[in-house]
Amino acid sequence: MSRSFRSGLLTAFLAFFLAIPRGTFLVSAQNTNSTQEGEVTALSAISITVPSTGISIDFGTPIRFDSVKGLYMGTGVQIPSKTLYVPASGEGALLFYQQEGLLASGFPRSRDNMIALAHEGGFVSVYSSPTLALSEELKKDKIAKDDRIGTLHSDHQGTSRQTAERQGADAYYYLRVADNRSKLLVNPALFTSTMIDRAAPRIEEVSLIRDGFILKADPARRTLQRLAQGEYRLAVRLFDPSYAGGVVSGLFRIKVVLDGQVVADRKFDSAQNQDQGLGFLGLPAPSYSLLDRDMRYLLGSRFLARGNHSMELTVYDFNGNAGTFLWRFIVE
Amino acid sequence: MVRRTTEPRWSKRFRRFAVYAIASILLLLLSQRPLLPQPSLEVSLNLTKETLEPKAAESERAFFNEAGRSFLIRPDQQGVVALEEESGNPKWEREFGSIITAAAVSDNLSAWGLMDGRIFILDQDGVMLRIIDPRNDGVKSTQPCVYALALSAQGESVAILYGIFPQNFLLYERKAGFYSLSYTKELQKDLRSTQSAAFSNQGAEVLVKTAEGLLYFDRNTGKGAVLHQERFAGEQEMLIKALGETGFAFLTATADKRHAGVIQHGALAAYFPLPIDSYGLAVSGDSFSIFGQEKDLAFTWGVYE
Repeated sequence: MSRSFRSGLLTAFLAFFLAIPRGTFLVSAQNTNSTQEGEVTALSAISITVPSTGISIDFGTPIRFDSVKGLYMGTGVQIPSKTLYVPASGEGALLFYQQEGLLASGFPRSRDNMIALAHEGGFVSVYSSPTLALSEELKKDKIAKDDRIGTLHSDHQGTSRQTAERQGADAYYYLRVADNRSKLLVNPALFTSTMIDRAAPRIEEVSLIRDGFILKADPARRTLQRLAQGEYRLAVRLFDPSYAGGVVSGLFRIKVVLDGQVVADRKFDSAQNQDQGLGFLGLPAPSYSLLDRDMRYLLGSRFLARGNHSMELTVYDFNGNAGTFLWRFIVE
Repeated sequence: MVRRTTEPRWSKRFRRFAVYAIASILLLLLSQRPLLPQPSLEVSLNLTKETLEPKAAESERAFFNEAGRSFLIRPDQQGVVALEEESGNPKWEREFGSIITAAAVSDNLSAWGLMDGRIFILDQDGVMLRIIDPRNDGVKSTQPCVYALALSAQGESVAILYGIFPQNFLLYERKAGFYSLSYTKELQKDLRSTQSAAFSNQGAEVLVKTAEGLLYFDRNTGKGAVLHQERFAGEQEMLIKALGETGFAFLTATADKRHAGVIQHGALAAYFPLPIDSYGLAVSGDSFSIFGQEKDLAFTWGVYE
């Protein structure tokens, strides 16, 4: 190799690294990967499925608990298991499991044993039940959809496993779906196929609250109810009954129309994973700040000026069944 | 005139040989008996049941007790209630956006590790002091999740077993009120369930159960090592608690065996089998108790003649 050729090669080599910005190739490679990842995410988002037979969705439903606030909100779906097996909701890998251990103390399980699977796109499905046991033959790094990830015991004490299997849905497990990439806990109803639920949600109570004063709506009264002018908070108690003792598709949307104007239209489609806890209906966390001790949802505040008012509250379940409540009152 | 006398060569050789021989014999004797008594365990039987009750007697509610503080875990494991020490009434409540997978408590702090990989550090009134998110510190685990947590007594260090693909051991140190990542060790194998971890009472050493074995890290030297892979690798259950100033007591369980032991300065100082019904470990100073369904065993670590 001649001397001039060597020096030329060296100059070209230096020029190449000086002229081209650092990491150009690396960045473009990363961009390509992220594009591909995005495509995978879009596909994988629909690859999680939740059974739709006999289920009861409690996403956004108040649950009593012995604590300072006394309540928290449900975030999942209760699923019956006829076979006593728990299938994987989608392809993924074992992320976490927790069951009653051989040793006491340490960090305890809650009421339930738990299995969590990580799926593509940042989704995590969490399965829990007091009797859930991790399947021994589970390949923890490569789990296919519908693979048996766990086994349940019959809820009926004293009955044999065969009896329990004959009886069908003796055992239930609870399923939650998290979207860690978007920092959301997602309503599992969004991953179900067709649910048969024709029972409309019930509006059990509508109240206006101000400084400890509560006016409970009573539309059956012959005379219109009266209250003083001021800022009031709307409190409602809702319930989604099961259809023919079966499916509960769950509360999904709350719409409030005051004097012909939509003042609130919120959905239980997801709960935000915030630093203070779970934020439902687009409202700040924690979830129990949205509830009072009487299991009423505390919706937004509104100033009510003197005059005649009408409020229409409509509550939908996930299947679109609606319950409506119309209330006329006078502000003095 | 000085008269030089020469010693016979065989005499010099003999003296040298004699000195070496005596030195060797002395060394041999010294190696047989230590100059100082070695620390060891004293065992005593205690037939009365103490702090821990058999698991069957526990109620449906899940309590987490550590460092003399008591917490109630919410049934969905997304919240925790601190209980008053005397009355047991709720003191404060905290909800998390993800499921709690690990926790550690000191006298004045509590740390809560979540399935989304974050660690919340709360003061004794439940006020959030810091959120540690290893993803923001460049830790490369494809799936975030906290599998083990340990908090030093004053909260100046937090040890974490974090994520999968790969699993990492992380050590955070508090400087000027902020926690920064000071040590990372990528592990070849991983565990997918909550593991035990503890700092020594002096806070200089930390011990964590990992899939590869017991991971020991010394903050003073900045060095870590996996101890006794042949004994502690795999999925066996383990409880680790600080013993004395610098040591650790542990209890391990597999389906058909129980063992306990002591780690001192990163070395396995004691390891012995226990009755199969052993289920709990409690430590007080230099003593620890192993709780069994039938009887409890008490051990005291010390220097015995």
